[in-house]
Amino acid sequence: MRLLVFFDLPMNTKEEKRIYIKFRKFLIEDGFMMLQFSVYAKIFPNRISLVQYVESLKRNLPKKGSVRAMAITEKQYENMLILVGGKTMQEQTVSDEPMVIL
Amino acid sequence: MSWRIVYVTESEEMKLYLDNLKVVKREQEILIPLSDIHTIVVDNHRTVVTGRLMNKLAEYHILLIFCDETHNPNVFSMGLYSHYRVYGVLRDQMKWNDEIKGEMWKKIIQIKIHNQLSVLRYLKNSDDSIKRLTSYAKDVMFEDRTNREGLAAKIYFNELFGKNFVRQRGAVDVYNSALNYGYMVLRACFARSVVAHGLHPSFGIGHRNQFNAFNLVDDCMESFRPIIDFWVYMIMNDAEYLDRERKQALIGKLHNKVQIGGQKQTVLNAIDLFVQSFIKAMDTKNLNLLTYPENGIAI
Repeated sequence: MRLLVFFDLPMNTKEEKRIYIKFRKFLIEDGFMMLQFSVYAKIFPNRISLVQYVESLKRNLPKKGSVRAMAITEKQYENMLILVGGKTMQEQTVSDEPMVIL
Repeated sequence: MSWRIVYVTESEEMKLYLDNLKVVKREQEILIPLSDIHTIVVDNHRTVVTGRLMNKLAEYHILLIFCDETHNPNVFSMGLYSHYRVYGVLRDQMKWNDEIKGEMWKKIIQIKIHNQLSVLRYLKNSDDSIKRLTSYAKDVMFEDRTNREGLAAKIYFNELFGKNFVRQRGAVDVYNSALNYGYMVLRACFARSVVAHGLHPSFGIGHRNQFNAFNLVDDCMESFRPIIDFWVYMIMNDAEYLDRERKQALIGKLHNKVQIGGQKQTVLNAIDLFVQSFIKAMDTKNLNLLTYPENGIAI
C-alpha cells in the first residue's frame, strides 16, 4: 500500500515559508519520499498500518493551504504511466519488498 | 512496526538524514525510513557509519550487523538500555527461581524436539528416527537432566544431512557453514528482542556458561533453530559452498510465515511474540502462557 500526499502551501511571508519547511521535513522524517515537487509517497506493509498512520498525519497538518492524500495499492502504483522522465534510483531499490539489497 | 531488512553489499557511507537512513553508493543516495527498518546487515568492510546514525539506530531499536572478511556476521550493535521500564523488568527477571527455570527449560527442549520432528516429517519419512525423537520429546526431564536435547540432535542432524554429518561450529563444509550463518543472524534478532524488552541477556535459564554474554538469548532461540535447519536444507541442497546469493536468501527467509499462537506471522514477528510471552510466563509462573512456533516450517 502507498499513501500519496499532495500539497500546496502559501509561501508569501517568512512565517508561511517556515511552516512549509516544517511540514516538508515532517513528511520526510515520517518516511515519505519525494515523487515530484509537492507530491510525496510513503510505503506501508498493509492497510491497517496505513489507516493508523493517517490519523497521526491528521494531527500534524498546517492550518492554511491545501493538502490532499490518496491511498493506492502497489498494483495501482505500478500501473502509473511514466510519460516523460524515468524512475529514480531510490524508487527502483526501495519498494514494498521487505528485503532491500544495496 | 519495523519490517524491512537492509542488506548492504556495496556502499561508501551510511548516515542520518531526517530520521532516514541515507546510503551513499557510487555518488547516488538512497533514503530508507528508519521506522520501517528492522535489521541492517553490512557485508563489506568499506562502509563508513557516522556516530549520529548509530545513536539514532539505538533509539529505533534497529539491529546493525557487521560481517567480517569471510562474510560471516561478526559484530552486532544495539541500544543496551532501550526499554522504558528497564529496572522493573530486571527486578522481575532476578526473581525467577530455579524451579520455574528448570520447568521452562524442559518445555523449550520439548518444543525444539517437536519442531525437529515436524521438519523430518515434512522432508523425510524415516519411521525409526521419528519414533525415537517422539519418545525423546516425551522423556525430557526437569532441566533436561538426561540430555535428551543432545541425543535428539544427533539423530536429527544425521537424518537431515546424512550419516557422515557432524555438527560443528568452526567447520567449513556446506551445511555447517550455512547453519552457523543462519544461527548467528537468528541469535542477533533474538538479542535485539530480548534487550528491547528490558531483559538482561546474560542471565539464562538453561545456558549458564560464565563466559557467554548471551545465555538468555541462546535459551530463547532453541525452539526456532529447526526453522533455520529447514531453510538450510532447502537452500543448500545442491550447493557447493555458501555464496552471497544464498546468504541473502537465508536472511530474506526471515519474512516467511510461521504458525505461532494459532496464526501465521513472519519469523521476525514470531520472535517478538515469543519473547513477550516468555516474560509473561516466567513472571506469572504459568508456562501455558508461552506462545511458540508450532512447527519448524516457515515457507
